[in-house]
Amino acid sequence: MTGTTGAPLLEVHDLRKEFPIRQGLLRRRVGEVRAVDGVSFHIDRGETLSLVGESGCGKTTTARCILRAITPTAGRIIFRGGDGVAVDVAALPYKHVRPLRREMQMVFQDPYSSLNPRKTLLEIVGEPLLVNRVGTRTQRLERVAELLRLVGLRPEYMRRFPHAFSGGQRQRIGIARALALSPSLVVADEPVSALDVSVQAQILNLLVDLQAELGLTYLFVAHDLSVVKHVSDRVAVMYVGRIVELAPTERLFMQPAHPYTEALLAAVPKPDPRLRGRRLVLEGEVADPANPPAGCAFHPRCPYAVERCRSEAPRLEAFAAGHLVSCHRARELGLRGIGRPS
Amino acid sequence: MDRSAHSLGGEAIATSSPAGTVELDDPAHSEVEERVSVATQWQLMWWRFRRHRLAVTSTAVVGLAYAVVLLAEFLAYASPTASEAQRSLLPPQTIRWFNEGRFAPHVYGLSGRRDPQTFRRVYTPDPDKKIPLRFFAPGFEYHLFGLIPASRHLLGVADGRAEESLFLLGTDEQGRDVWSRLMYATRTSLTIGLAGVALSLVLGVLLGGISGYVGGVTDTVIQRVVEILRSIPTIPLWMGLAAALPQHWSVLQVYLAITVIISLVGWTELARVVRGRFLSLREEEFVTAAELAGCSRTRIIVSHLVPSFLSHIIAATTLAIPAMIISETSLSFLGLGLRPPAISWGVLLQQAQNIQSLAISPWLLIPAVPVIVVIIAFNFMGDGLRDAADPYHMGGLERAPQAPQPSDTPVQSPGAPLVGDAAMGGLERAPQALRRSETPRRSQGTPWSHDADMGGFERAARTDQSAAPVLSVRDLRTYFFAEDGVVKAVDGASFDVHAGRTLGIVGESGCGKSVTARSILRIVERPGRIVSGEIRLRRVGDGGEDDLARLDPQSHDMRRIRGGEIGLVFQEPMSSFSPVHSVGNQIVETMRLHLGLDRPTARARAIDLLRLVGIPRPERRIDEYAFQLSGGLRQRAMIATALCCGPRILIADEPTTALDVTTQAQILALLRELQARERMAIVLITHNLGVVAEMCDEVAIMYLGRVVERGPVDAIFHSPQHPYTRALLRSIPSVHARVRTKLPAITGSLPHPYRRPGGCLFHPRCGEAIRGVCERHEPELQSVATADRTVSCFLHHPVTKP
Amino acid sequence: MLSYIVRRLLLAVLTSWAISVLAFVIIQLPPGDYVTAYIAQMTASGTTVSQELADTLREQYGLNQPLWVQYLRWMKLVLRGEFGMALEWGKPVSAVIADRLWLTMALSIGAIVITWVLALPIGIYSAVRQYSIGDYVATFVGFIGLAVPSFMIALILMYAGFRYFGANIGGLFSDQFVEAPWSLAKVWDLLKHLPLPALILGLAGTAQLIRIMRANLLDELGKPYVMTARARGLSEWRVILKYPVRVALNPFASTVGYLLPYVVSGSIIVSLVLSLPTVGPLLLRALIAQDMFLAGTIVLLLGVLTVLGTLLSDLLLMWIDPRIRSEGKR
Repeated sequence: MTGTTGAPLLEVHDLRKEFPIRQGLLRRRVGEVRAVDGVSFHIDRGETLSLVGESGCGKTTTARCILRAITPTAGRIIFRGGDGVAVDVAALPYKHVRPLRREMQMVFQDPYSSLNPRKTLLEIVGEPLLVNRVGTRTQRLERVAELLRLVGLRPEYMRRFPHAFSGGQRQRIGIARALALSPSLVVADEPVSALDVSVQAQILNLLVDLQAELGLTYLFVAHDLSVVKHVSDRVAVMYVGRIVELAPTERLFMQPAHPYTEALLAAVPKPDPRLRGRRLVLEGEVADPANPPAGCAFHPRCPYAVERCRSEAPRLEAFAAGHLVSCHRARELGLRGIGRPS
Repeated sequence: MDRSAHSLGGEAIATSSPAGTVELDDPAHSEVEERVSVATQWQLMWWRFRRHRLAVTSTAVVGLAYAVVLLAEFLAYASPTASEAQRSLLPPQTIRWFNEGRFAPHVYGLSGRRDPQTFRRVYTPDPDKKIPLRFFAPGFEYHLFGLIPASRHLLGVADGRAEESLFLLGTDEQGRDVWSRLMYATRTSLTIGLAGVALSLVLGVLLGGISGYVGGVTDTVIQRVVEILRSIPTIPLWMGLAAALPQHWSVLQVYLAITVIISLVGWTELARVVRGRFLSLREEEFVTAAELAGCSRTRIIVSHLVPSFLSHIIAATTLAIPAMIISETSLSFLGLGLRPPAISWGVLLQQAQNIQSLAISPWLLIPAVPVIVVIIAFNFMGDGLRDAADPYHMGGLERAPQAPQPSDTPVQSPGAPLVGDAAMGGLERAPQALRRSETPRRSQGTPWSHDADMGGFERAARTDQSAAPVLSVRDLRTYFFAEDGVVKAVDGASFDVHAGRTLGIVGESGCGKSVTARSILRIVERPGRIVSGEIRLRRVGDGGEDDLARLDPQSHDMRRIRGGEIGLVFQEPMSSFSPVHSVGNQIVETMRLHLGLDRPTARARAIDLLRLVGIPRPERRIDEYAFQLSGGLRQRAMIATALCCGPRILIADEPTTALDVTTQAQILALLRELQARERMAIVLITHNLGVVAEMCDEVAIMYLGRVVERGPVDAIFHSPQHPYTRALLRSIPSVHARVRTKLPAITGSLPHPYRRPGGCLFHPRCGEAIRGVCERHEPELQSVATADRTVSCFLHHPVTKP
Repeated sequence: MLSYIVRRLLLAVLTSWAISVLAFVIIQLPPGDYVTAYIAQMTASGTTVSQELADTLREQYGLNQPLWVQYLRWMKLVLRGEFGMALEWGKPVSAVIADRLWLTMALSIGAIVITWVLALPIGIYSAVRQYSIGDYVATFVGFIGLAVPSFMIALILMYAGFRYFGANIGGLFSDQFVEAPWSLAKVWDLLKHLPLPALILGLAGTAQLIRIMRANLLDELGKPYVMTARARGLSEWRVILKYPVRVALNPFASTVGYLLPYVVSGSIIVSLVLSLPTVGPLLLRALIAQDMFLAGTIVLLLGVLTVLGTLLSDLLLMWIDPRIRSEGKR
């Protein structure tokens, strides 16, 4: 399923991003928000890795660091582009980042603010081509038409403005724009969260189809586990800036190894009234990234926490083949997944 | 599941492209929509502006005024400097239009005689001296537009010496004709306004732009400078500066100097507008998208940012011109601005300073009229431009329900400074990240809280139909009468709510579920109102019913029901609380209103209530404000507010959509617990079918304002009858699905509210539509199988004659 | 909260400093210096001044020093309350300005009070009953206030009063009190005369505030918490007055900061037209006569008083807005 030929397309090592908190008269730095607190993973060519988590977990910040939309505080982001050369995106001076843009692109969450309302579709989808001096005007026109067709819109629409389109259609336009330069990596930041239920399916299908047709690699950021199940090969669960579990999709859902994953799976409402059963509800609030608990960040809410969890932060370690967990008690606990697929 | 390609009257053709993706075809666009879809921002602005009739008229007036600027010499008939002591302070003449029945405009000449007492010549109009008016008459020589020599004027007299006989608006102390001088004054005052604004514009855009785009220290410094400038009283400052202008300077030099002086402070307003726009634009994702596409900074500024604030600048500039004009007029009036021989409105009005002379020659005040008219016109015009400036601020109808994006986490905004000044007035946003995360109380001492209600089957099996519903809605219709048309937000909703049970109302955006909730409580905002239908609430005690649709929304009865018998929980807990009142204040107020409690009792009860909903340390929290609580705690407080008077029905409108999934689970558990304890009926409105499956006993599915299917939750999920329900259930992602499976999606998209399909609302997207039937006739909700299951579909019912 | 106060205080000090620099610039702008003007004045009244005397005076006043030194000297004097001599009057500036300055502030504050009293209810009504007749009338009247410069209104009213009632509506005191020393009766007399000029002065500001209040309130009326309040069964007026009005008041209160300078400005001209014994006519005369110490000091004091007023209004804003009060304290 995952086209693994050779080295991974993207490797992230110990990525960190901190935002300073300033207070008081002189705007003194009183602390920082550790939005991303040591994140490591890799993505192979052609596969989809999803970053899942609740608010404050740092998934969006991670995604934006990878694209260098934000500058990371520390860590390495190794990207192997079209020419096979490995580049550390995090360490690049900003002017060298521009050529890299052709290889990595983003699909945004909000279809209303991610398209400039004052530009036509041709201008929006064609801008990456124009800015990177790809092709002549006629060639660009053709390419835009081709892209629009690819995402399921009629090419005649290219003269229209975004206000003429619905949310789902706008998202298609955003996808077309992301594909303009034929990137190898596409980061999708909650691409369906702002859409209606019936439209979500269309866009998810589109993304899966495009991946197969164009050989794309996806980093999929989402908060909704059910969406994630439909598109991912592997899933990474994040909590307060760290990855707590990383596993192939099926395994994560059926045999989670981290208590937080278990809680998330239990919390997702399932669309089948016969599955009500006993609900396990996690107490407490999502931890504050500006002030994370000592030791394991999850320990105040964890039903299985022991003394060690309060003082010592666990590391992300191999638990089984391809399955990483960050929990002291991973091996002893037998956690519940979601059961057999329907 | 494959989609067969079919066509229904030219609508919703679903074909497959080679990649297997479904190609969409919009329903036929009308001519108007076609034009709108390709309209640039300027066209949209123009269309919006056009509707503002007052603004359009004002623009015409301004245009007229500037025509005067161009044609000043032509419109004047006497040289502005032609003074003659003998003609001093002559009153205005009336134009008489008819002479002995013929159309022959003329004025009376003046004959003077010496007043025997004061020995001064007194001039009075002499009816015997009729001086005919000529149009395009010869007069003093001038250069039209500064280039073309001419000597014709709009008005004049035959002999070409109009200044001796024509005084349409009287003369001033030096005997100069007021009308002619007014024309010249208009030119000066209006152009100085433009010049001053141009300078302010350059300064304002530059400094405001830098401030907004660069941010940081530069921004702070510029902001402070702006604040300082705005705190200084301007007139004394200008007076001081103007008084310092050397006496020997020429008119032009003085003109330019005055322009600079009045722009010195004027740029601050424009800078503020520009900065504001830049700040809000920074949040727009299309700017990030442009960066990621590889745009250089210059391109982003020029190609993306500038067009976005251009229209706002135009509006702000237009509104700045009148201020400039007033400034110059005031300064000149004082004698400190333009000086004679320069002529401006202020200079003309200077002659009116002396109240005694004004009393004798009130016409000296006439130059005030064009000042007032032009300034009002500019203001209306500027207002119209400002309203039209952002033609994209529509939305609302097209947006899907908000995704869970709790707004209290700062980490999600890329690149923007974490904490910064929210507005120039010094209102600073506090660092939200410093909030201590308090955990709601753990019940029963164990980390997991178990559902108070046991087992799934026992709840689902409760089909106690014998009790009458506590609320019955029948064929409710709520329409919004907007300028562009009628939006049928709710167009036939029928359902029942039973005590101790939960009804789920499910649908996508535009289906009318929120409006239904608001209709029940009679808080639908203008221009919407309930058009027909019944909302029958069972009365406590005698078992009779009240039809809420018939009650006056402001009546005592309805208000008693609102909050007292029916509670409402909203989606956005942050904005559902007043930002300036404490949480407890709002709870206490409601309890005192409905239950008549005194303050201490109400407060004690409120604290208990907060504890009940799981808020730790409620005696402290009660005095806190909404922004001090986290998302989950806020929603609990919201629920407490809704429950404080022990209502029989709780309506929860997307109560968990804005929350994290683990918090959502807590809130839903809380609701279940409360329902069991109080035997309360809950109406749960949501778009999330998973939540419905978890929480509800009965479900009503809504589409485009209509309830299309209704029934017990198990039946709806396991044997849905309506094609929409079936398609919807198939298309939702689920954690139980196989990995990486595609979902059968519903074709097409939700139609625009103004373009509702005829016949069955769902037929354009329906895979099972019956040709010839579904597009022509509207189905009704009728029972299927059992009494508690109703469907609105021709697959299950024959067509009844409309 | 403390940091907010300190920040506002610092800004006030900074602004006052900027004003002092501007006032100094104004003093220095006209050609020549104080001594030149003094000599001119002396010469005009017949006395000649020798060059030696002129030089000595210059030395004495430090007028041959570089500008910034002169500025510091002047500031030192100002901070001690010594503002120099008013040439034309032959008296110290402080004696000449004294009363008039307070009257100017009284007039300005009176204008602001009237502005608030008018703008608040009209703005609320306008927003709540949008598009009604009352709304249009209020908007129109508001526009008049906005479009017609206050001095023009003053002029027109003066003219009307004179022409139709034969009365002179200018002045802040009845004849018998003009020169009288201050007493309770005089204060009362002042209060009786204040409303009309204050109204004229405040009209433009009223228009602005009505629009601001209306816009803010319209914004707030659409927000969810208003709907929640209705959903709890409160009566419509209580819903509006207790919640959105209260929230809309915040930006309203902060407008005082910008209103005060505007009103003080306007009072100059209106005072001229209505012949009020305030600082306005004094300033004009001083500028025309190139009596620069008098003029500069007036600008300085007016500015500083305005800044003080703004500071007070900021503190007021802080008091009524819990978001500012609890900054940092969670």
